Amino acid sequence: MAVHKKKPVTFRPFKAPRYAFDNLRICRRCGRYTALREEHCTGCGKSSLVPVEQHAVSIAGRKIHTRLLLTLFLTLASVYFGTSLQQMVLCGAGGLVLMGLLYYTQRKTRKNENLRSLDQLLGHNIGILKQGLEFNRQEAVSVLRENDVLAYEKLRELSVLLRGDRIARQRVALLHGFLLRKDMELELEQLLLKDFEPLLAEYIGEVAKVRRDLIKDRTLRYVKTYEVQILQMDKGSAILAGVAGAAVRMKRYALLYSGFIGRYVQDLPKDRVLRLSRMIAANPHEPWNGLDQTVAEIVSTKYRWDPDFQVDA
Amino acid sequence: MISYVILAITFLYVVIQISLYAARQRKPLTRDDIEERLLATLNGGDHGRP
Repeated sequence: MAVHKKKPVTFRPFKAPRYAFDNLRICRRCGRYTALREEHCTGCGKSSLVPVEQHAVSIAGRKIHTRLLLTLFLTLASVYFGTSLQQMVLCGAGGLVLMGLLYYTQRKTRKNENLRSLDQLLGHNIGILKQGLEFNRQEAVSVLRENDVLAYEKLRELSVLLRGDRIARQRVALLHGFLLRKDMELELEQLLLKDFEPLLAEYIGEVAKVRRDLIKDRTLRYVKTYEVQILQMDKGSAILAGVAGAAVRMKRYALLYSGFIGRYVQDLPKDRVLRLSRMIAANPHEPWNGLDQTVAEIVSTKYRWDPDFQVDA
Repeated sequence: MISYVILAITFLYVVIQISLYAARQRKPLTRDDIEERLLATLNGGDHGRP
């Protein structure tokens, strides 16, 4: 069997935007959408990419100006057709009052109109938007052979908008080739798939070693759901023990997944067993579902003479 | 007479516009609404996994 050598890599810093559409840009010339960081539009090659929100604000602004101009035009027309000076003054003054009212309302509702414009822009152009994101995905896949880190970074940016299994699966496959480190910007919950994927299970095992804090409820549920399949893998029990060790991090997880932790407690390293035993000792009346007894047995068989455990006894 | 008719049309136009603005303001959109709708459309209404 060929040994897959993992590559040490460094990712560019990535901060997930507050809103999924924050990184989305549109080309003012050809109308193509992109979620990637390129400077020039891949469709027309021009540097006319602007954030969608900015584009929506300018569309809303144009509509507002058009309505005001139409009111001004009607006012001028009414003045023009006036048969006497009094009529002309009356029409001019009336028109100006109406314009003032309209302008005041527009100023008051501008924020909401900008958001409406954004909603309409995204809603009406959803087909073009999907097409643009698909181009982005193909672009990421096309650089995969030459630069897998760049491909991963592009897919990571796309995953803010496209949250289906397809992108997540491709990202997991790429992550499989990288050597994971504690200082890397890693993700886990966003990569969880609907079905069982051995590469994802391996990745979870790696994350459990370097970033225990990323093992949360959804990951624990995923691992519990596919426990049997993971056990059938080469290093399946080590993965499950790693995840069980990470779950010991919080009392809530230890209580919620007590059965799961109990099945792998004998494979946990000493520090994890120590943490669990201290947690149980501090909360003896919690429903540990037999985990307290299992831990007590492990402590008495493996760590009976260990001074760290003696302190707790 | 024509000038008054045009002024009346202007009045009607402005009243309709202000009513539309006011009606939309009564149900204000938030960025969260837009994001939720966009993600639902892009991902077929499927946000989360198990």
